[in-house]
Amino acid sequence: MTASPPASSPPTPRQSFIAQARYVISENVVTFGAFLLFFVFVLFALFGGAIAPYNPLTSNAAVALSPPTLSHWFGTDDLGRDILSRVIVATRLDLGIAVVAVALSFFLGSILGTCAGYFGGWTDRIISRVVDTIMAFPLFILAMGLVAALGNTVENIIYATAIINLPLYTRVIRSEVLTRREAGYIEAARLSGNNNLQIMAFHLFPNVLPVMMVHISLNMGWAILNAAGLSFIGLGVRPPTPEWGIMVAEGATYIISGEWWLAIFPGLILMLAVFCFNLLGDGLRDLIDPRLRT
Amino acid sequence: MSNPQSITQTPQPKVNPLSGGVAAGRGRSLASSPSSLLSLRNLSLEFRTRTGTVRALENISLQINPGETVGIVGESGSGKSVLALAIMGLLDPAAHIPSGEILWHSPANQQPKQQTAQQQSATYDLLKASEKNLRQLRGKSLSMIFQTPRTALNPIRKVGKQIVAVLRCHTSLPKRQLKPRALELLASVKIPDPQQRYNAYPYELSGGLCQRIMIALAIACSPNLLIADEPTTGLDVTTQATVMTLLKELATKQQMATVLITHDLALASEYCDRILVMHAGHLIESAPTRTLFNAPAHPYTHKLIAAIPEPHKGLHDLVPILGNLPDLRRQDLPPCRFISRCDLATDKCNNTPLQRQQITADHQVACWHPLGKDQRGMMNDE
Amino acid sequence: MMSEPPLLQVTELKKHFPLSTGPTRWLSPKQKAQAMHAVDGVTLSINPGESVGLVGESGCGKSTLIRLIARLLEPTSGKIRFNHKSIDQIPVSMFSRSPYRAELQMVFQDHTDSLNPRCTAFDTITEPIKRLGPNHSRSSLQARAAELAQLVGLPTELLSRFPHQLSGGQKARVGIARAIALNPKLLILDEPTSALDVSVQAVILRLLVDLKQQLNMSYLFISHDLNVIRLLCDRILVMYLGKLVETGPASTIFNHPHHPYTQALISAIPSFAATPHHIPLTGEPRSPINPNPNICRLYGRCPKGDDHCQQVQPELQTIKEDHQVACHYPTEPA
Repeated sequence: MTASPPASSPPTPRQSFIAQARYVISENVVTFGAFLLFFVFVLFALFGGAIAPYNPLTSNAAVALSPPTLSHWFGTDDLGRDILSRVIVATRLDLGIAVVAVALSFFLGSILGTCAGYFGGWTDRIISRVVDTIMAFPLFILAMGLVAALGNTVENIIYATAIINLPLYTRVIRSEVLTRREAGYIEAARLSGNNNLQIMAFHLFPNVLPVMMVHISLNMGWAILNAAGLSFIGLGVRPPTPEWGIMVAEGATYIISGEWWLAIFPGLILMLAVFCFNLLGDGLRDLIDPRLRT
Repeated sequence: MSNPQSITQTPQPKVNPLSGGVAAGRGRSLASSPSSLLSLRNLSLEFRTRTGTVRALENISLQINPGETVGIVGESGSGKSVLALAIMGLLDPAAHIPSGEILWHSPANQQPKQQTAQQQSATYDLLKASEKNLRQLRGKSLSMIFQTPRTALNPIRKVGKQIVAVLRCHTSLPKRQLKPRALELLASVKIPDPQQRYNAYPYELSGGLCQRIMIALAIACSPNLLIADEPTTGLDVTTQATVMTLLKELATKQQMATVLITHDLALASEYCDRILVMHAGHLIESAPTRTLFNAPAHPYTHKLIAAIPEPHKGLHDLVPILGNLPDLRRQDLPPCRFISRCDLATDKCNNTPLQRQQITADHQVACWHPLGKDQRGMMNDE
Repeated sequence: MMSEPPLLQVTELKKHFPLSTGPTRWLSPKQKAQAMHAVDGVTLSINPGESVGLVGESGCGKSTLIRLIARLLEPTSGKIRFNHKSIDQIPVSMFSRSPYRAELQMVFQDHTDSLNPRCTAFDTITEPIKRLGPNHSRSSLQARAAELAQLVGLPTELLSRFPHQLSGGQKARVGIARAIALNPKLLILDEPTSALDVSVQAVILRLLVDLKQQLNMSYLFISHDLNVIRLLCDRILVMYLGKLVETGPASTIFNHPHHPYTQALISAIPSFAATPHHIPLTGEPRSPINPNPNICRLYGRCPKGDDHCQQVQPELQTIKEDHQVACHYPTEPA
């Protein structure tokens, strides 16, 4: 139904963005919840130290292994450290690793994927084969290899995660670019005097971005899991640094003896973080894609 | 457009109490001539969208008789495609029909499978029929072909197999007769080398061939009514001519009624017996083809004809229709939706609900100021 | 007009798309490479201020031809001279920076597809100026955009809208405004009104005529609708399977077509005349892949045709001043 748009003057870009955001949030309560949760996580990441009730590193043997109480909402671990505080402070590290890894991956993958999709031919073949090779590596093997070669540091874990995620972005962006490469507005862009770089940067990529928002968000969830998983097996982050994966690893042995809170709470928060990012992806895509406005 | 004689109706055959049905057993008499095939009575349709309710169709009444070719003509946004989808029951879930009926008068030999032999010709309200019954009707008695043939065919199945699937669903042909019958159908739509094309995929075929395959699919079970929604848009002029000639031949041979939906008036004028003109969800004029083009009564029809390029017209003879379609989401739509673009509009047009005027026995117009004889005669002065 | 050299001169332009046959090509190198002859030796010229129409059906190569002329595709062979300079040697990737880019512009058929969904009308219209024009200041861009909007009849408040907020006719105007932003000398129009409603079509056609006079442009106008071409064009070129089969003044082609294909095309146009007399073209078009250079492209579908037609390819011959036909047996229609 192609009724002509209403004759009232269109809102300014800023007005329409806010209106759009309000609309998206109001239409979908779950998205709104995800945004709130995301906000909370960011708060923890930035101000965790100030928010946490106790110092995450201070041990207090007297209250070691005490179950959740009013003074320690998540209980204490084997060294008497408050688990809630450790969980809150750990957000910075987990989120930080995931964000940096995903950003690196996205940046590199965008360049490779756009070039592969746009130029085709040998560029495409070489890039695709390299990416296929990377896909063959399981994350843990790659991480262990890097750690063995370059040392057990957080930086190396970030590189490992970034490399593992590279194929996803490269392939998705490549296929999105392939689809749009023949569109009329790309030809028109050429007629308007854009060279290849300008077409890729100003015409192809901005249209690919909304789709990527969903992938980035889902990938964030996956990257957080990766970071936690690597620390779980002892790579990268070392105790006493609070980190969700380490906490789950350390708490795993205590589950059998009945002290379930050491592993469960970090695990729950981890799950919540992944869940939040998954939901965020859909909401973000609605916000950014102008076709869904009006 | 209901025949005025039928308004004072004689009691109609009792509506068939189909399972899942129809106005079962209520003995309602239906105001439509028993000789018609499909009648729409006061059909209204709206779409509930997040920006408002779009009143896509309002008070559509028309009648299709067996064997005739009717053209439904209108521009984009007139509601003609939506009308076709409503008849076929293929509407979006957001569509809502607040009022009206779509009555299908099924001839005696075309009953859905489960019917017993005793049933004579029966009338169903398609809007109230169950999905199961609709499915039995679709493809068998009531068929449709769509606008872009290549996308309307399943791209991952061979074309021959798609025809066989239709035959298997609606006919009781034994398995080994299915392929020969499919090949026969391909030949009847003038596809060269049917054996080879049987095994082709849609992407291997040209637009014209795909459209003919779609026609073959649609006529496979000799339907009583074929709705063709912009069947030749996107096809070349020469292919268009071939496809339309083919449709016309098949219609005559199989005594099939055809509804041709198009924005191309000239095309409709060549192939249709009668033309219905739609504008912004209203059916504004209905007349036999020659009458419509020689003496259109509605100002919109007149302007539409004037805007079409023709060999004898110069550029400045083309008169555009200025203004835009009204926003169908508005709550305060005037009774006549052409008001804002009409030169003859008066207060009456703004205040009184539209009523159909009868100009001659077969020429109706929904306008308070239909063009008089002398104005209409202008069309003939060239 | 005849004394001036033509604005555009295309000579024996060819575009063959190779069809990759994969590994078998390596295994049997003797097998001849398959290529689709989209454009097969087209020669045409356009004079300053002239409006030339190109008609032909899908698969005839007109889309490829105009993209070759607009330098969006590399030709396989042939010459293109624009404004006295040879432009076929400039590679496509470099052409966007050449001074000719601004002078040779195009309006597309699908107005929705040709607009970047993430750019407002203002961004779209001013982009050529930003890339190719001299003055990039914000105020000059705004002034120029307002000027262009007025020229094409687009209300200025629509400039901040995205394509999905515009109607079909408004999108068409945005596309036209973008194309004329730098005052091109030659404007190629690829079926600009076929996607529009009839009521809007008349407005856009008149707009195009007015713009041509105001801005002193030449048009290469493509349409499958001969009625529309007739209104806008001085000369018509008829194309079939990569070759021009008939050329001449618009009224001559329309009233006295001599080539069987042109005659079939004109007879197939639906009109309000009482009885249609379609001249049928039987069967499907010949394959454009490695076509036999000696057989007339219409052979097999043509109502006429004999052995001579499959032994010697007909070339364009002048039968009257300015009227050329590529047929061994051109005849006046009945």
